[in-house]
Amino acid sequence: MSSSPTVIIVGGGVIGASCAYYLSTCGIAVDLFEAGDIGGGTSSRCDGNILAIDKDPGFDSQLALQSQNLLADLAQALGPMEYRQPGSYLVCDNRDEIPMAQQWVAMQRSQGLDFSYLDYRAVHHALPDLAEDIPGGLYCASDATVNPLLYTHRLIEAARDQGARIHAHQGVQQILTTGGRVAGVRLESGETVLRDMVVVSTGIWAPRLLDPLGLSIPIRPRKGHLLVSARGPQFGGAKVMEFGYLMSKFGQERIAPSNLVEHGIALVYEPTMSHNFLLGSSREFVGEDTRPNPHVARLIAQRAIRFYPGMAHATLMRTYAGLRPFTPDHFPIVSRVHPMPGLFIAAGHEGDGIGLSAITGKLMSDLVLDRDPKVDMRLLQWDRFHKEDDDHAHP
Amino acid sequence: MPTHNDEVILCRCEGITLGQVRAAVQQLQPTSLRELKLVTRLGMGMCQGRVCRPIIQSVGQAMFQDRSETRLAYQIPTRPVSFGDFVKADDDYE
Ligand SMILES: Cc1cc2nc3c(=O)[nH]c(=O)nc-3n(C[C@H](O)[C@H](O)[C@H](O)COP(=O)(O)OP(=O)(O)OC[C@H]3O[C@@H](n4cnc5c(N)ncnc54)[C@H](O)[C@@H]3O)c2cc1C
Repeated sequence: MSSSPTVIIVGGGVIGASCAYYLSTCGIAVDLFEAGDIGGGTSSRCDGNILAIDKDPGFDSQLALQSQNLLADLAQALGPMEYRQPGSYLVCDNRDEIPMAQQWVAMQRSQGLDFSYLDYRAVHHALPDLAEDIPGGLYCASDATVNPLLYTHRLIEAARDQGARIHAHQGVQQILTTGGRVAGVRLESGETVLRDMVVVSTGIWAPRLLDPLGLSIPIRPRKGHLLVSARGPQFGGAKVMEFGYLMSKFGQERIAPSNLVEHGIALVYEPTMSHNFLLGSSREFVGEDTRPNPHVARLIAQRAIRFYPGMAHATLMRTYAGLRPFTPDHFPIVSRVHPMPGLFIAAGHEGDGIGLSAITGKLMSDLVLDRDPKVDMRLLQWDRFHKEDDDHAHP
Repeated sequence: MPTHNDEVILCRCEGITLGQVRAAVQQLQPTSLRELKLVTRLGMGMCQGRVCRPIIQSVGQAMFQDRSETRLAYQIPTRPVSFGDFVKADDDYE
């Protein structure tokens, strides 16, 4: 292609917004179509953590680190989005988790990440509100956080300033093809829009647009709850998770009460700039219903009080739930679709879409412009699941 | 809207003024009441809209022809409660 291609982005969550931003930065003509509100899907029903602490040492953590660096630049370049970088903690529930925590720190440090192990004294010094019996924990200094919806809007605002056309409340009904390649899209309104390329960034809804083309991708909604406190005392200014969260995330065996394991519940504490805090989390495959389940919400509150007894006196204001776009190996799909020239997918970021948004948008601009991305894209390819089902499973 | 004064407070819990709402609308161009609430925290404070619902409703109608605020969203808990008491309550009480 001699001049730069024209591109349609389908989906205006954080991933579509980041693609719109990075593509328009390169001078590409972008039209973004969002069926509902900008950020109205999972990107407004989540925490805003930008984490390396919970990534597998290696490809996983390097991708996270690159995205953290890009996000730090975006925080400078875009309007205010409550970005800050207080680092984050993992705390252990019991002594059995201590050797695993130490091993985690050693592996991360050998990869050059800024991790430290915290013994009993160090963890209680850093987090004075913790329950007395917490035996230890660890700290990752590079971790940051952002207001995810505000961030999504800032990306959209900047993309618009760079000439991107943003169409909210205009859903895409169908991807159009001609002669085996992408031709454009048909909107819900019936209108046809023709462009050179289409990027599908519709999170959990990606399979719905791809199935009719005979392209199957294994993205499934994995529900998560968040509890919102009223304004009031916070329990420290950094994000804190329990070590068991790692195992719950990767579906590994974890020693914990069975009702916690059943709903994938582990402590996630996130202070916000609105002087309150969010509590999570749960991980379940229970369809597309985003109504909160009171039973799960109670278990999350209970788990939080186990780590922070003082929270019993804080006020719960609201609960909500979102749907993480899960893939079987926990990596997103950021890929060309070879059998269908002009088609690209950026979806399936599960619990890391905010953190990985920046690197995703950047990589998508490389793919669209046919530049060489500085990342091993095979691990993010759309058809990797068909090839080696088990070999690729997360350790 | 009844007045054009930017100082007017629309949401007392979060201290959001009409001026702040206008600035957010201009900069971020929200397309619905839910988006506006999420970018400004309008009606997102302690009262959870119990006090300011009529005002927010009129903002929604005036700006987006959006009447969603007349519906009460499905809420847990039904009113603010301490985490300690929430844990003790049983599941069907909501
Ligand atoms: C409880 C919870 C906590 C989380 N915490 C974190 C965290 O701390 N850090 C982190 O990095 N990640 C976190 N996540 C994950 C993160 O929220 C997601 O990975 C991310 O929001 C996914 O973004 P997306 O743009 O792919 O999807 P979405 O935000 O869902 O966007 C997809 C958009 O596509 C639109 N769409 C669908 N179909 C069509 C169509 N046919 N035409 C047009 N538009 C369409 C939808 O309306 C939607 O707006 C959390 C998730 C949950 C549920």
